[in-house]
Amino acid sequence: MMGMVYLALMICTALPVLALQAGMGAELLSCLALGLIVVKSVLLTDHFMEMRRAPRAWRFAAQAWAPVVITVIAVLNGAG
Amino acid sequence: MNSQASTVISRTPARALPGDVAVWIFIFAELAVFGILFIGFAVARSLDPETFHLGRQALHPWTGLVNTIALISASYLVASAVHRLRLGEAGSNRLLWSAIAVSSIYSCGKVWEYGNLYQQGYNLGTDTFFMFYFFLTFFHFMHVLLGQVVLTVLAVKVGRGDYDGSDMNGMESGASYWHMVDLVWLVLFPLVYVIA
Repeated sequence: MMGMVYLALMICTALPVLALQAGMGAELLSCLALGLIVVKSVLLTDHFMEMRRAPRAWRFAAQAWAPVVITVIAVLNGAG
Repeated sequence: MNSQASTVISRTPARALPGDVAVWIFIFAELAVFGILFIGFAVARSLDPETFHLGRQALHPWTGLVNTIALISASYLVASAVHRLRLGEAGSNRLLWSAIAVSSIYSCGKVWEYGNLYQQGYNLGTDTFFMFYFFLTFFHFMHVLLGQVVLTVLAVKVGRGDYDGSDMNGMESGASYWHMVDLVWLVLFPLVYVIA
């Protein structure tokens, strides 16, 4: 299971850089990168940090950090 | 009926925080600080997008990618070490030393990147982008170095037999700190290197 999570994290990491090299549009690239951050943070907190076995409130707090930061950044990105 | 119910309850694993509560409070404090810094970066970028666009072009996304792979690989090795120690399997010590070695790729990459940018004339005072770039990445780099010290202490203790899997508190606390460093980089890398 841990190996699969590692592989998924690697793919999610490589995708935005490959898209950047391929010349993907700035807006689409930003959406892709921000979306993949959320996926990676959930995988990392649940499986590597083992928060899936933690009390729900702690698990939620750990998982929510990246999406909250990303949402604010996305809003500011859109406003800019 | 009651005995059946109690059997079901006893089979349900109790939810527990991996590691010490104090370490987790420290981790959340760190995450809050990084979160505020990231939002500050995004605010500055929305005010001066041209400077940030030009600044990002001076960076090498492949360096950032290699650093990310190094940190995720180190996290995987640390998580595997925790898993093995809990099960009482051998090899936990070796995995921790491997994690330190792999994470050193990040440290070397960062030093190379700073040197390369400095030679090109970029520093903290160049513009707003590089002020944020150097501050954010150096602040994170200091956390990586502290994480490597923590992993070294864990590896030595596991090697000496101080941790045998019966009490996972110290091992889980150190591992959680390391994963927090990785989690922060997962946001920092695309924010600085990728997003236009």
